[in-house]
Parts: sequence; structure tokens; C-alpha cells
Amino acid sequence: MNNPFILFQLKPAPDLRTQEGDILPLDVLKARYTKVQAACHPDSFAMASEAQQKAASEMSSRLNQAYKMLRDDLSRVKTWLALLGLEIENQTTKPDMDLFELQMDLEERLAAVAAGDESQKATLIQDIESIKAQALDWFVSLAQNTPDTIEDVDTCLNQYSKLALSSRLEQRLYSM
Amino acid sequence: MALMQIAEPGQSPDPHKKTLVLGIDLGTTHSLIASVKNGTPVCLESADGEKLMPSIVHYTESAVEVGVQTEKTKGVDVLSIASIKRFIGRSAKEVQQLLEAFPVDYEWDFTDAAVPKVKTPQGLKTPVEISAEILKTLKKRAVQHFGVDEINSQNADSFKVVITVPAYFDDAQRQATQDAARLAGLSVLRLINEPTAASLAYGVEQDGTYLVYDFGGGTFDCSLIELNGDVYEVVATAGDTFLGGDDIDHALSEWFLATHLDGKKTKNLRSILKDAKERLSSQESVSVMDFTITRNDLTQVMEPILARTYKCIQRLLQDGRKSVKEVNQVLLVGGSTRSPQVFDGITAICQQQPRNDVNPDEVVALGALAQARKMTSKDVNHLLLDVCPLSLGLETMGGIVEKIIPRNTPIPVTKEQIFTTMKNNQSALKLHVVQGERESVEDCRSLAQFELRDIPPMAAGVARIKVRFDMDANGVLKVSAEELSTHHVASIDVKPSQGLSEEQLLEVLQAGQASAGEDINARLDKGARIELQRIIESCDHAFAEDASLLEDADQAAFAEQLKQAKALAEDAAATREDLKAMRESLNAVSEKLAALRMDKAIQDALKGTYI
Repeated sequence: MNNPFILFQLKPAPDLRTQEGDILPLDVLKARYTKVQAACHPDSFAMASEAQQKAASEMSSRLNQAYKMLRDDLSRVKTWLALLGLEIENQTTKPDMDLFELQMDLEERLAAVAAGDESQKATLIQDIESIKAQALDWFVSLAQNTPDTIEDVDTCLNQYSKLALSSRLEQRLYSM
Repeated sequence: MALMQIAEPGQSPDPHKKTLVLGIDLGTTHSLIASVKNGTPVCLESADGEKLMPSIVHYTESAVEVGVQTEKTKGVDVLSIASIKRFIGRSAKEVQQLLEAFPVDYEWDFTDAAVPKVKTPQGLKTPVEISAEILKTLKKRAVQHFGVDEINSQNADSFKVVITVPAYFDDAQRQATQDAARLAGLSVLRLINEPTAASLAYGVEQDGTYLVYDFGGGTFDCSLIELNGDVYEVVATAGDTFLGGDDIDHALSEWFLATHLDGKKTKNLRSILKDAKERLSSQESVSVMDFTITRNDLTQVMEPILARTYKCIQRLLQDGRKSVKEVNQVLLVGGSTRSPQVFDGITAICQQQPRNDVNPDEVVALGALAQARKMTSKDVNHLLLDVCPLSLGLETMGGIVEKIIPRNTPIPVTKEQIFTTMKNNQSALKLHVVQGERESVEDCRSLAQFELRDIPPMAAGVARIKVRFDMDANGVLKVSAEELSTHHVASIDVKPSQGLSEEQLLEVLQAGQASAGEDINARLDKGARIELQRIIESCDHAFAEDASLLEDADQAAFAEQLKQAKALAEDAAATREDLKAMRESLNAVSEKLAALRMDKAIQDALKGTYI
């Protein structure tokens, strides 16, 4: 799985863009995914040779994996960073008090909402979304300069942590 | 006689090769087979005009009969086996546990812990063999309907089938179902999940989200399906393999015994009460042995069972990240959904009236047929994207499960993960593949164990062992492990203990054929030749279309191999081994082109998309 962006004819970026650099909405990715999946799914090769069936199955699972990597913001940013040589899994983040306090605050408010305090829900969602949008914007503007590698790894990891935190809380809010 | 003929586009179909495209619902209590007759998809009837065939296999010393038993000669010992689907793909231990909840009146042999067998008048039979009898009888029904001749009916390739399984069937149960089909001489195009099949048959056309509630005789399944144009995407699936109408019958008899009979067992009580249950669908009360049972009584008995299905629905919606309000329609499938209690319960839980306008008994078989037609025809365009129903993982230190493929991951899927050794100079690594949602290995189902040996001596934590999980579109798993510094590979088809190896299959086939007085060798020779011809056809087609994708040298090699294969396929003296070896080399040569064609398919699919 070298470059999932190329597989869907996208520009490697933290957000979704055409190869020419124009911004794309999320449902375009889904449309492309189903289109290529229809062309490659093993069901479409049931009557073909074993080698062809195997190739279809391999491609189809590559597409599933690539789609999953690009579908949500967090994993897309992670994939993009990996292409620039920054493997998130191999990094150790420095302790950051501000981030820690932010997390504690959000967790507390989330717990209150979970306990039934619906009045806080709307503002909490707003705050989480705005943290997420800010972090994503930071990556998008970093990408504007088309870097070859990541220079300021610490800031990058800090922003990534914010994106990860807000994505995680967003999901928990959603499944409530 | 309407026979569907299949040929690669641009080729003339072989007039001697007739292929039937079939959909099979292999159910716990009933089974059905569907095909296209006079242009219309229908469930095929038995000689008596019955579409539903009871999934009961009757063994006597000299015969096997499936469905309604006809031979009732005095003095003939008959053993009747019902609901074998409950036991397929399960180990001796699991069968023993199941028997506590579902006692049966036939005996088991647990000598082989991996493959439990039933004692029949014809000797020990595995659940796979017993299921194969059901499939064979359905196949016979198709043969009679379409007048397939002797030669074609001997050839599995003439029967292209899609068989349905509960979404919640695990890997072992799927493998076992495939084995049963092979044993019955059917060529399986795909196993698909029952609720998915049902949604295909309901013919939903409007884009949106559908919840399928499939409550059958022995299993409960639910799926959340999104329809978008021609694409059916299963978003999430949940269910319970031990929950069905049988459980309602069981609970009702327990209740009746306790409240009316002071625990005194009565013969045939269960079937009497089953009948009462069915009558209560249309009547307010019925009388049973001088007592009255009201619909309300039944509602109370069913309550805890239905509550378990509602819990599955909650989890389903959570996994699919949907609220109940986002569900456009609820589709009911399975005989147990005929109960007004189910209809009312679902209406309350889902905040809308469910659809029940397709015969709940036939809907799954018809859906399987729809999928089979899609897979054998170039004209039908729908795409079915399904998911892996249960999480798959590996045992790690302390009996904790590391999940590799989480449940509801779209399939096919390949996942790789790196593991390392725990001890210095550890030379082997045991891999234990498990399935289930719980953290601890003990609470999950063990699928397979294998070892990666000859790891070179290294300090603890230095070795890098890449474990790869491959799940195909049937939901069948393959696991392999590789030590990265030496590239030493160990792999296994997770064909757990219950699965049949190629040799075992041959053995069983041989045993069966010998008694029928047929020449198994001739049959296998013919099969090998047909297999080779099939792959030649397919390679010919691929080469004609896309040879230009290959470099010149590869093109020449491909053409040469194809030429040799064609010559061998015509050579009457060619042995089975020759034919098989040729098939393998042709397959190997065609791999490169096959992969290039997939790249091209993607390019073509996205051509001119500036959406």
C-alpha cells in the first residue's frame, strides 16, 4: 500500500484535492471508491481465471484499505505525513501541559453530557469541531508550501495530537 | 426449457456446456433453491409442489432421504436428523454445549474432538456430509426441473450457486458450508449473508438506509444496508447464531410444562406447541390439551427472546453510526417474523412499520439467485460490498486478544501487523487466531493455531514477525506469518480442524461413488480437463483484450504457454496430473497480466471523472 492518494487519482494532501490541487468534497471520494470497486470487485470476475480472481481480490482489498485511510481527516493526515517520512507510530510526543489541560476540560464536559446534561452538548460539539478545524487548517497550510519532509516535527506532533483528540471525542459524542 | 448459458463476451457458448445459475437458502429448519424459469426468478418446487424443503435428513441402512420422508416400511430403522445447521463447523466441545440447550434424539460420536460425528445406520457422518445431503437433494430438484443430462449433472461446473449463510456465521461455519457444497457437486460462486440476500430480493430501489431484521428458525441476524445507485453497501451487521423460532418453541414448552403440566413431560409437546404458536399469529387464543393459551401468554414467553434481538439492533445502529430515524425502511425476513409480536415490537423499536410484503420464506433464496445472476452475467450491474461480521485477532501475552481486523470491516481485506519475540533466542512463535469481540482469549472462539519455526537467534524484541490476515469476499480467512530478517514464511488457511482437506474430500467422494458403481477416476480426469479448458478460455479472452499491457518478452511467453495448454487440452493421452500441472503453470504465467488488467480497470473506471 504505497500511495492510496494516487489510487483514487488524488493529490497527496491533508484534505481532499484533485491531482491539479482543487478542493473536493468528501462524497466525491465515496463516489470514486464505489466506481473503482465496481470495476475491481472479485464478484465481477467470478467467471474469470484463478489468477484474475486473485488479482481482483487483492486490488479490491487494497481499495478498501486505501478508502479507509483517506475517508476520515485523522487517518488521511497520518497517511500524508507518512508519505513525507513522518511515521506517527514511531514518534514519542513531548509532554504538553496545555494539551493535557484541554483534554481534561473536554473529557469532563463530555462526561457531564454523557450523564444527561444535554444543555452543554451544543457548545461542546462546537468547541470540539473548532479544535479539529484549526488543527486540520494548520496541516493544510503546511501542505501549501509543498514540503519534501517535515521540518518542525514537535509542532507537527502537537497539532496531530489535537486532531486525534478532537476526532476521538467527536466519535464518542456521535455514538451517544 | 430455459437454460442460462454463460460465455465470455465475444465467444460463442459451447453448445454442450449447459450451466444452471442457482440461489440456495440452506436453512436450519427449511431449505430452498431458486432459479430463473421462463425468464422469471422463482423458487423451484418439489414433485409435490412444495417450495420449502424441511432440512431433515433421514438415514436408513440402505438409503438417505431428505425432507418429507416417504419410505415408512415397518421394521426399517430410520434415523432423522433435523437442524444440522446448528452444528456445522463446530468442535466436539461446542456441540456438547449446544446439546445441553437443544437436546436431540440421535447420538453423537466425539472420538475426534475436532470433527464430531453423528451415529447413523450408515455409520458415522459429519455435519458437513449431512448438510451435503440436503444440498444434493436441492440439486436434484434443479436437475429435474431443467432436464440436465447425465454428463452435465456429474459436473460441478454446470451448477453455479450462491449459498446464503447467517451474517453471524464465523469462519469455520463458512468453510464447512463450502465443503458441503463441494461434496454435493456444486460450484460455489459466493457465500453471501442472509440479510444481504434478503435486501436484494426485496428489490429496494430508492437510495437510502435499510435495516434488515432476519429472524429464522435457528438464527437471528440484522444488517444495516445503504443503497446508493447500483451499490449495495453493508454498513454493519450483528446477530446471534443461537437465537431463533426454535428457542421460542423451547421456551413455550418449558413454560407450558411448568404452568400446566407440573413438569410432567408429554410426547410431541414441542411440536404441538409449535403448532399452537403458529395459530396464535391469527387467533387470539387456542386450546392445547384442555388448556387455553392466549396470545398474551405467548407475548410474555417471547418477550425475553425478542429483547435479545432488540439489543442486537441497538449495537447495529451504533456500529453503523446511524440513528433509528435515519433508517428509511425496515425489511422483515424469516418465518419467525410472521408473529404479530415481532411486527408490533419492531414497529415500536424502529418507530415505523416494517415491510413484510415479500414471502419471508422465499426472500433469501431469491436474493441468493439475484447475486448469482449478477456474478455470471455482464448485464447486471449492481455491486455488493459486504463486511466481516466478527472481529479477528491473535492471542498475545497473558491471553489478551490483539484485534487485527475489527468487526464490520469491508471485505475483501488484508491487514498486516508486526509482532516480536518475548524471549532471547526464541526460535519459534506460536500463533493463535481467534474470533470474537471480547478481550480475553477464553471468551473468543479459537479458529486455528500454527507455528512459525526456525527464527534465527536474536535478543528478545529484535525479531520482526509480520503477520498477515487475508479475508476474501466470502468471509473466509487466511493467515500467514513471516520473519522479516530471514523471510522465513509459515502460513495457514484458517481451515480449522473441522474443514475438509482436498484428500479427505476425495475420499468421501470416492466412498460415495464406489457404492453407486461409478468410475471415480474417469470423473476426475474429465474434471481436470474441463478445469484446464475453462482457464484457457479465460486467458485467451484476457490476452486478446489486453496483451498490449505486457512487455514483448512476457507477451511471447504468455502466448507460448497458452499454445501448449491448448495442445494438451486436446491431447486425449494427457493424464490428470499433466492437466493439473498445466493449469497451474498457465495460471502462474497469467498472474502478471491479471494484475496489470486490474490497474487498467481502475484507470478506465476513473477516466474523465472530474467530479
